[in-house]
Amino acid sequence: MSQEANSTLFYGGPIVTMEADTPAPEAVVTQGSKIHFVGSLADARAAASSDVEEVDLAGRSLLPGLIDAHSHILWAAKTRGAPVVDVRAETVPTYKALLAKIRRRVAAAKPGEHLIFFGLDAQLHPDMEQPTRAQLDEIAPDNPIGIQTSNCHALFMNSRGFEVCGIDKDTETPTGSIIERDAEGHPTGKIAEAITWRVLEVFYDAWGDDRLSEEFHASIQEFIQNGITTITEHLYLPHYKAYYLSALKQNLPMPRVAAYQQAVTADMQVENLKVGDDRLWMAGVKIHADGSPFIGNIWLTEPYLDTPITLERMDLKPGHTGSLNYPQDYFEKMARTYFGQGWRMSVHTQGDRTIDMVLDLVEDILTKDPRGDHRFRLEHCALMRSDQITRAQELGVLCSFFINHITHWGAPIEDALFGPERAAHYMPAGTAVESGMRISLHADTPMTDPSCLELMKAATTRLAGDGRCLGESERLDSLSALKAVTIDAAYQIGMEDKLGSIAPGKHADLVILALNPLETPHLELADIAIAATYLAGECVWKNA
Amino acid sequence: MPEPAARVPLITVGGFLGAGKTTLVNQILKQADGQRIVVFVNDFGAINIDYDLVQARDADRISLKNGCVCCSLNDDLVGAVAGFVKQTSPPDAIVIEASGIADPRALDSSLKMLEAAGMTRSDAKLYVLDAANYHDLDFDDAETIIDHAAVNDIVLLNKADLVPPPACKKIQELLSEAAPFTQVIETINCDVARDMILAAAPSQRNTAQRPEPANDHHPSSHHDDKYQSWSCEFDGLLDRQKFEVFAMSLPGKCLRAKGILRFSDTPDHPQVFNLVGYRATLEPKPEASANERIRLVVIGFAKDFNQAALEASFAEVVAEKTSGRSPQASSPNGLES
Repeated sequence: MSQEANSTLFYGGPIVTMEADTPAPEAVVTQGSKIHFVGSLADARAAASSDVEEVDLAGRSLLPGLIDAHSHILWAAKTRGAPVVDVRAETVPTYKALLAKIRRRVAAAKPGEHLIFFGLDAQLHPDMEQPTRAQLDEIAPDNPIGIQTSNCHALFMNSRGFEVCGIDKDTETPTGSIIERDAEGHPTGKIAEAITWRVLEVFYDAWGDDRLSEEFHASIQEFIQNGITTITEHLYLPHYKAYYLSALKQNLPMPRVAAYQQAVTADMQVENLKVGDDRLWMAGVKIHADGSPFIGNIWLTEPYLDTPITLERMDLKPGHTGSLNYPQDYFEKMARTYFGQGWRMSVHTQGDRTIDMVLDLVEDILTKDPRGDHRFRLEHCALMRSDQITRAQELGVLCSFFINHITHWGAPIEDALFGPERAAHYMPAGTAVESGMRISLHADTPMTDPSCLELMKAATTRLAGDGRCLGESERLDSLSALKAVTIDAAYQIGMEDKLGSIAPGKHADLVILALNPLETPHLELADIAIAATYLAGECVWKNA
Repeated sequence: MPEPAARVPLITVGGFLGAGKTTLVNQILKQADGQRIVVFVNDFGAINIDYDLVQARDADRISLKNGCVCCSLNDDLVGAVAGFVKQTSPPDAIVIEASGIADPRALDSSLKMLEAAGMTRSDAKLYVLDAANYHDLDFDDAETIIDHAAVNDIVLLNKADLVPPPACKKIQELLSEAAPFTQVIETINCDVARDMILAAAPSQRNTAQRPEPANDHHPSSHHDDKYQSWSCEFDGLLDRQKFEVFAMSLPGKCLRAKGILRFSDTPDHPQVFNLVGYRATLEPKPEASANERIRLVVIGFAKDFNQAALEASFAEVVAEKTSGRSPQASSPNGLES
C-alpha cells in the first residue's frame, strides 16, 4: 500500500545543509519521508509535485534534524516525573533540605508506595553526608525508598528497599557492581553501577505501565520540541522494545532511536533490532569501563585532589585514583566477544587510565583482527589526555563528549575534584576536533536536559554555572559544534549516509530555528527558539 | 571606549496566583521615592494603579507621574529590557513580575543573557508566599511553592495577619529547612520596607540630598520597630580578605547590605557591594570618582540586630581611615536623616 506522499518546499531563509558542496541553497523539497531536492528556488519548484506545500521560512533557518548521540529516551521517562521526586541541588539546595523533603513525601505516601528521590549530589549539596540504611529506615520504616545520585550511578536505600529488590547479606555482588556492606555482609545502604539500574527497574515496575507510558510521551515531546529527531538508548535492555513499538504504533513522533544494548557479561544475546525505515535499530553494544567522576569510581593516573568534598562528602581516601568497574580481563572478554561478533562498541570511559586500558585493547584487537570501519566509540571522555586523542585518532576510535559536565559541575570539577590544569582540558573536545576526529556532543538525558543548542553553547563557551571558563583552548567554533550534533553525530551512530545533513535521498528530518546558529553569538545559542520539527517529512511539532 | 554605564539592578517578583505579587509591585511603585523604576508585569490587565499616580495609559504601558513605567511582559523580554537600559538615562531599577505558576528558573536564561551583556545586575529575587492559603494546598502545589521559594533570595510570607501565629511559625520552620539560603519576612499586603527592595540607592545618589517625600508613601511606622539598620561613611580603605570574611558572616545577621567600598590592594577602583539574603556580589563601580568615600548600609530585623557586634567586626576590616562620621543606627527609612 502506498502512503500518501506529502511534499513540502522550504524557501525564504538560510538553509544550513551541513554538506560541503551545497552549503547554502535557496530551497529544499521533501517528498514523502525523504529529501527530494536541494538547490535553487526555480529548480525546486520545477522539481516539486503539483500538490507541494510551500513553507516560507521568513528569514528563519532550516537545518537537518538534531542528533544527540548519547541519551536514554525511555530510561529518561522511567527516571523522571512523579512519583520520582526531583531533589537536584538547583531546587533543593542542601542535604538537610533534601532529607526534609523526603520526610514530607514519606508522610504523604500510601502504604507500601515505592519512592525514588533523584538528584543527590556530593558536589552541589554543600552539607551532604552519605545516607545510611539505618538513617533511611528511621525516615521511612514502611515504604521502600531510594535516593539516586544526580549522576545516576549510585543509589542509597532503606531496608524495605533492599527487601523488595531481593538484596541481603547472602546476595553475591555482581561483577562490575558495588554493594557496600558491614562486617557481617549486610548492605549498609549504598549500591553503585550496573546493579543500581537493575534495582531501579523494580521501582519502575511497581509504578506500572500507565505512568511509564505517560512519562514516555512527555519524554518524546521534550526531545521533539528541542528539534532532536534522532537519539540513542544507551542502556538498552530487551524488554524496552515493547514501549518503542507501542509508541510507533500510536504514531507518536518518537525520534529515531539508535539502541546500544547494555552488556554486563560476555554471554549476552545482542538483539538484532531493526524496526521501520530506520526508526529503531541496534547500533552497538555498550559497556561501562569505569563509573562517574562525581562518586569517585573512575580510574586515574593522577589522584583526585584531597578536599572536603572528595574526603568527606564523597568519602574517598587521600590520594584516591579510583578503579575500573570490572576486573580488566572480565571487561576485555566482553569487549572482544561483542567486537568479534561484528558489533560497534560504545564504551563508557571517564578516567585517563581507563582510556589507556581501552586503547591498548583496541590496538591489540585490531592488530589480530584488522577491521577498517569499526567506529569504536569512547563515551564522555572527561579526563582524556591529548596524547590519548592522538592515539585514538590513529586507531579510528571516536569520542562522544558529555560537555554539560562543564555547565553543571564546572566549579567543583576545578576546585574540588581535579584542579585547574586538568579542568582546562576536561572533556577535551577542542583537542579532538583539532586532531581531525569526528566527535559528537551529548546531554546524557536524564542526567541533563535534552537540548543540542545548549550542547553547542557549552562547547563553544565552556562556561561553568558560576561564569568561569574551563579551558579557553578547548572551545569549539560554531561549525564544529554544529557538526557534533548533526552530521558527525550521525557518523558515530553509523547513519551518515541517511541522517545528519540535508541532501537528496536522505531522511527528511529537519528543524526550523528562529536564528542561524552559525551566525548567533555563542552565549545566545541556547536561547534560539525552535520554530518547527519535521520527522520523516512530517511536521511533528510547531511553536505556536 | 566610553566608560561602561552602571548596570541596572534587576528585581524579580515570583509567587502563585493570588499570593500578592501585584500588591508588591504596587508597593514598589508607590515607594519609588524619586527613583525611576520600570516594571514588567505578566498580567497587565490586573495591575491596578491608583488613579492619582497615572499620567498616561495605553494598551501595554502605563506611565506614572513619579517617572516610573509599568509595561506588559511580552515575548521579547530581553529586547524590551535592553530598550530601557540603552536609553540616555536608564532606569534606576527594573522589576519583573514572573507568571504565577511558572518555574522561576525558566526566566533565568533571559536574565543571564542580560547580565552577560552587561546591561543588568540581578539585584534581588523576591517570592511572595500566601500564608493564608498555604495549609489548604494539596501536597504537590505545596511542594512546588517550596521548591520555587528555595531559589529566591527573600520570601515575603504574605497575609500573615490572616493566619494564627502558630501556622505562620510552621511555615517559617518548614522554609528554614527547605529553603536555607532564603530570608523570610512576614508581611501584610506585602508591606516591606523600601530599602529592603530598592537597594540601588547608594551608587547613584547622595542619600543626604534625597528629597523628603511630600506625602507619606512610605510604609507605616511599624517598620521602624520591625527593621533596624546601621550605616557608616568615611574616607579610607578596607582590607579585602578581612572584608570577605565579614561579608560571609552577614547572612543570618541581616537581610540586606549595600555599599561602595575601596580596598587597600586596589585603592583606585571602588567596588559596589550588594548582599541580599545569602547572595553577595562585589563589582567595579562604573563612573567612579577618584575620591569615592566608603559607604555601607546594613539592614536587618530589629529583633535580632546586633549593632554593636556589627560595628566591632566591621572596624576590624578598616585598613586605613582618614576622616568620616561615626557609624550610626537608625530605622531604614531615614538612613541619613
